[in-house]
Amino acid sequence: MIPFLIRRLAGALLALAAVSFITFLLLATGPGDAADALVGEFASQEQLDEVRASMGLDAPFLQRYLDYMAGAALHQDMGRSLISGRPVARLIGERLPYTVLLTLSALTLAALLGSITGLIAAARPGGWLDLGLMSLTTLGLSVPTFWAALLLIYFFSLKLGWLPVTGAGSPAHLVLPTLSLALPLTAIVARLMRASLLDVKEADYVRTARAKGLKPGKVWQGHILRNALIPVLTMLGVYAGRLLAGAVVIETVFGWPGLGRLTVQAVLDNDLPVVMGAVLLIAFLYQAINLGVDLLHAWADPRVGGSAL
Amino acid sequence: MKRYTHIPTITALIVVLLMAILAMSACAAPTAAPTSGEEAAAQPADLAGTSVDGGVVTRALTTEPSGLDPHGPPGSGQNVILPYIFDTLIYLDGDNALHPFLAESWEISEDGRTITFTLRPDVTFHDGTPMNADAVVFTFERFMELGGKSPVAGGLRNITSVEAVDENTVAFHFEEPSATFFSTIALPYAGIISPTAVEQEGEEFARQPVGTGPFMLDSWEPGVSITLKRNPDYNWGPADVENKGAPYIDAAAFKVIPDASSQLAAFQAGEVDIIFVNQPAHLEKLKQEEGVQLQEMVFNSLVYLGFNTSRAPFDDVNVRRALAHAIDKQALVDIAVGGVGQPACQFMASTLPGYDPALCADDITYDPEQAKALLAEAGFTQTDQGQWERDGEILQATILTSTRPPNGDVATMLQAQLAAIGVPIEIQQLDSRAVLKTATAGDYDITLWRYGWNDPDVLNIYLGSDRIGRTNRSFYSNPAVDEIFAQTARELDPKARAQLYVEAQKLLMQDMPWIPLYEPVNIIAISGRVQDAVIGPMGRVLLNDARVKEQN
Repeated sequence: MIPFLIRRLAGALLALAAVSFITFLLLATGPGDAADALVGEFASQEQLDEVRASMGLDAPFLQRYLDYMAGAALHQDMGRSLISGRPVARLIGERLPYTVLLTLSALTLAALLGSITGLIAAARPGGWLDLGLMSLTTLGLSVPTFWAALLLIYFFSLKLGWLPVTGAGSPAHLVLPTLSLALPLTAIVARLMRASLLDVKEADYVRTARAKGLKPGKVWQGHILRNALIPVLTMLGVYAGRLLAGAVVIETVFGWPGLGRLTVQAVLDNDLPVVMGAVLLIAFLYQAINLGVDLLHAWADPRVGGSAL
Repeated sequence: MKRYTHIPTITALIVVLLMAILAMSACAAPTAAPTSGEEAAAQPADLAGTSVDGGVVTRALTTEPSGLDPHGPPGSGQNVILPYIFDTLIYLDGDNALHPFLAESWEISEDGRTITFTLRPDVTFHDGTPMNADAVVFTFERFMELGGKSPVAGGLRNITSVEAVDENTVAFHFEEPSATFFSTIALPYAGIISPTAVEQEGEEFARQPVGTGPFMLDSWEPGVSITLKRNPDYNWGPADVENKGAPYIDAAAFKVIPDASSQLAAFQAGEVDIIFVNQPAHLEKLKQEEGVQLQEMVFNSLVYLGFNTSRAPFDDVNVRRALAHAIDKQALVDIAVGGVGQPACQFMASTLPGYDPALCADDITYDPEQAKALLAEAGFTQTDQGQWERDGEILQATILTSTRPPNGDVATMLQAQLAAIGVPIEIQQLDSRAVLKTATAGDYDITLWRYGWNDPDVLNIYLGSDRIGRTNRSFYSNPAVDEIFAQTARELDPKARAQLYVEAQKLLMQDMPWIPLYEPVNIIAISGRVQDAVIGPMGRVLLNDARVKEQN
């Protein structure tokens, strides 16, 4: 267990270092920098150079990178936004709760709804309910998120007047973004759950369990469901990381103040410290979630657990 | 196998959870009644349908400003909100005429090197600090120090010192007369700020701005909204509004909605009252809605095709004029812009001084035959394929423009019109900043661009030869034009200055470094529940007179 954790943590640190370097490289060597964004359309080259120097953007790339990493790693100082001058930690702190809230609610909804759908569909494979539900999931997967979002707005906000179009702050504001975000994920979970259930239902250990006279309910709970959930769990873990990285489209359509919008705006402004802070945080969360999923996986499937831990 | 479908515990769990979800959304719904904020709930019911004091007017914002310090970096969207919080010394109305604002009057010395403002004696900042000569001196010294790098400060360049003569008198001293001074100090970036607040808050001032405006900051929810509340002590409204006192409404809110379709939906749902409409399809939708007020805004804007006059063959005036003859501006406006604009016939936007209807007679008209004749005169011969060739080089060009609508449609239409006379055109669309960078470096043939400025100085900025390598991206240089521009910079008499610009334009229209295409019309939609919102200069919507009509 302990060596496993150490190995995983070392891997995670390496991944973080790689992410930070590549992000920094892309931003620092790409066209334009924050000085362009700051001085605006009418500035002269001299003004631009002056601003650039005052922000330390004229230093060599490697030196800037090492300075940044030293500040971040040794002093836990994520720096300040080059555009607004506000501390990066605060900018991200303002947005993170919204992103976590939306991610968790979408994930929960998708996990529940998807599992139930998969379960119902797997109960009578090939039946009309199965066919109907699986066609629905195909629809859910192929509808572009922003379009689904606009449809939801049209019905629930404009036609029915039940829910607000944009903003955040009340539970009502959470409903439409959650639904839009959960829609494709629900479809994926449903399909995976169904496939996985059908798989497990035919497994040898299930037949054995039945053969030894276990009640159907017990077979479902103890053998089929638990095993069928393993691939679903893994997938949800991967997806959680993706959702945390920012559901930019959904955030934009619903005016949701999440990390994605902050990051995209920072990229447009070449606001390097903000982008770095956001990307590193997301990479960290991603690693943490994956580690969690691995541990969960090991718990749910003792066979995997033995070899992984 | 089918008998294994019985799964009681899980079914029960599902039902409970589904009910919980339904219950949550049902409970949540009433709190989300599609009105914007706390409307005057205390008003008696029989007033419904009439104007009542109080209420909130909400405006949609596409980007959230990074801060509300007038001296912060320009271009982050704060100029929409600044005028509500800060007042300026003078007020420039939609026709670009000057009016007193925080300054009651002003005097220009004989030599034009000293301008003395007499301030209103009765003005206080939101924090109670009196607005006096010291505050004005503080503001401008900070502006020149912090905003010195900012282009907005160009009009303050010649100031040698700002002096508090007495409690209510401020003198600006200049190295030489500066004609752009007045339009600069009317910009939202030149709002007068509270010295005590800056001192106390330091860099937090950008998040807690304190001015003398009709509204003051109430709350700022990052990424969601900025809410201003009415300044009850306000008594110094600008020229364009009737109510010089405190606003009738309780609050003005700004809601961050990055997506244009969502803005429209939020408007239709009544969540926001004011949106900027920049898509013809959205305009059509809004036209069909009852009660929506669609108003035109003045941005002193012009859309033009700018040549890189340092690059052959566009260094040849005949080629530039030939291409101008090939363009049907009316068709461009009707088709590519959806009719929301006016064909332009000169370099100056029609709302700026220096615009002269008489100049339109000199404009190059749509005449493809004349275009071909001019190309022949420039030494081009037409090939069998209908293209134009000179010294083995085919006449062709790339139009560089930004990805903002409707640039793509306009460029495509221009491509078709120029192809009709045998000039193949390619289109390159980049984001605005990349376009500027590429154009400043001179790495382009023709650019499709738009200006919007509150002073005729915009022509000096874009076409003065001393701005080559910066804002003169046409690399245009004509000593006669430069000479006139130099005079305009010193001329403080508005009439004489306008006349100088007319003279400059006569020369420009011979040289054609640009082809003026059209003046865009910008529409703002205001909800039927808001009455008497006043459209000010440069896209401002003044809410001093506004009242909210409660709908039944």
